[in-house]
Amino acid sequence: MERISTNTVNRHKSAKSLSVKFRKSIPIYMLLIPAMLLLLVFHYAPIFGIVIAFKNFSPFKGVLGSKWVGIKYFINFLTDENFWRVMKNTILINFYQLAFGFPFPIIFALFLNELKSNKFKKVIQTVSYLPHFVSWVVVASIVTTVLSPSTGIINSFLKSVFNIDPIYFLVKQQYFRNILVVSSIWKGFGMSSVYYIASLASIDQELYQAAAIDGAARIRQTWHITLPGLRNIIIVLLVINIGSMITIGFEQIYLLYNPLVYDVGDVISTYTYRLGIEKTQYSLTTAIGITQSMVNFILVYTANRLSRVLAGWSLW
Amino acid sequence: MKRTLGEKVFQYFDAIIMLCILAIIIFPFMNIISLSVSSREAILTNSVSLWPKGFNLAAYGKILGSMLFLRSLVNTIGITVIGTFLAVMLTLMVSYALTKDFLGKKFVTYYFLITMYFSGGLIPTYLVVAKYLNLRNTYLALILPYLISVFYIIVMRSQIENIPSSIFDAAYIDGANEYQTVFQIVLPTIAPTIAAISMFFALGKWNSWFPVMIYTDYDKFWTLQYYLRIVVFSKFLEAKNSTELILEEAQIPEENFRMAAIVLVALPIVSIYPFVQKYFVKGIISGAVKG
Repeated sequence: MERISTNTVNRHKSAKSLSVKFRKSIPIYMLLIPAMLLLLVFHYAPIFGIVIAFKNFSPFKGVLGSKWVGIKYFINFLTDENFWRVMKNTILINFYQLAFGFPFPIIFALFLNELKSNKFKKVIQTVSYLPHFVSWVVVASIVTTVLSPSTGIINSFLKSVFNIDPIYFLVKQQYFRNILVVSSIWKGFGMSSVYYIASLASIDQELYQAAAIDGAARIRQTWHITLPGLRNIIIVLLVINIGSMITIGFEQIYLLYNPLVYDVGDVISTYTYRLGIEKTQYSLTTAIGITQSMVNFILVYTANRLSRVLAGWSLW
Repeated sequence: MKRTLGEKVFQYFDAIIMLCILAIIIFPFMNIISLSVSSREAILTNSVSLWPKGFNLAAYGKILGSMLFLRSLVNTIGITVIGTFLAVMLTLMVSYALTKDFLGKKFVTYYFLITMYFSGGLIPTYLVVAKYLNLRNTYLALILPYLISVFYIIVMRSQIENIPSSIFDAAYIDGANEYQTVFQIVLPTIAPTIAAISMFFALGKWNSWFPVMIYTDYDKFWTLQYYLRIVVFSKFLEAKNSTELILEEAQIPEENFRMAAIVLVALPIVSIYPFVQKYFVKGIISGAVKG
């Protein structure tokens, strides 16, 4: 009897404290509600909207009115050779961009760090950031102009130095991926190098002095002091880059590609865009989107675990 | 410390490499500027490369006098200013709220974090905005879906957590409510972070064109980047209702016009970035550290 009554009292008390806490929390909720509503509408609603991948969706019938078709659309694209072509391109292009684009800012930072003149250093650094700040539309316009067979500087250089006839770079399959890799590096290397430049600045200068006294040459100092100092930041950034491999690249490719290079340049995001928004195949492209998100999640998750093990740093 | 001969040679070698990198960045811009101001004859004979030949600003006059360009400029400024302001305010409110203790905090924290790892993808989002909310051909479609970035919330929250609690206690004793605390205490205290995050948002919004492409059908919604995309990549067919862009005046070569458009669209950012780059560098580095 006694026990029961204390229980009720406790429950009563906790319900009361809950409602007190709720009332106290109201001002906080007011700060949160606008943002949560926006996410509900523009983020969570689309997440629930992925059910249309399992339905024969038509905008006139709506999500609820459309018929269930199971995994028909998944089978559709998984058995479509076009899908495997864009999958292959996505992986290859991202792999090349990582393989060539990742080391470049590190090398740049190392060379920049060795410069004696601080003023010259500052100028180079500032200029190297420039392409990061302009949009992909501007960069793609520049790429198109520079590679133009008639007015571009690349072709006029090739003509005057090697006497080579103008090359139509952007419609040739053998050049397209190289153009993507080079333009990505051009746009991003300056900004990406700031991580390494900051890490280089934080390496203890006494280590270099001690090494110099021991007679270690500059190159050996780089190998034994500088590179180990950069180790953690390199691992962290590599992991982040791998994690975002499958999602990047829509704007760049969409602006630069054309039907003549679809075979080597069409990627999942551009393919989804053409099929979904231009050809209104909503259910099919949603099914592709789900698959892409799943692969992406696995990549991010694995990358994060790897980073925690290798560098003791993780996103969450 | 004495420098050996090898080190001196390396200094020259290093400087040469850096100059090459400088050239690789600057030459393409020079190519574009030269093409934009060169005379019609020089353009038509393909004789312009790094330096301008002749002089002709007609293309600039034509673009700056066109309603379409001015409209795109005004739209870009409007979307950037309004979008950045709202995004920063929301980020501040959420970041502050998440440092407080309240009922359901765990749920709310996950509610935000989950969006970093899962999304509906392009097509479901497009359908929600365009078909269900009927925001097609409105400015709202260009602003509202892009206001929340959980990454910046995390960065800002960690900054607010660093504010000494005595500051909050003082505000509490003075009887400040949560809103006054956010906007009168937190906002000025973390002003550098607010400035940096505003710049990240602003740059993203200034440079965006994809929403314009998928959510609008008329040129009155164009932003500068989209305008440039239409001009340079000549996808005139996609530009419904645009008559102004057609170059009926034959005296301006199309090349002049396109290049001048690139210069004009890139100019605002190119002239501002040297003064704000340090905020971006700081922000990027602290973002990597804080995660």
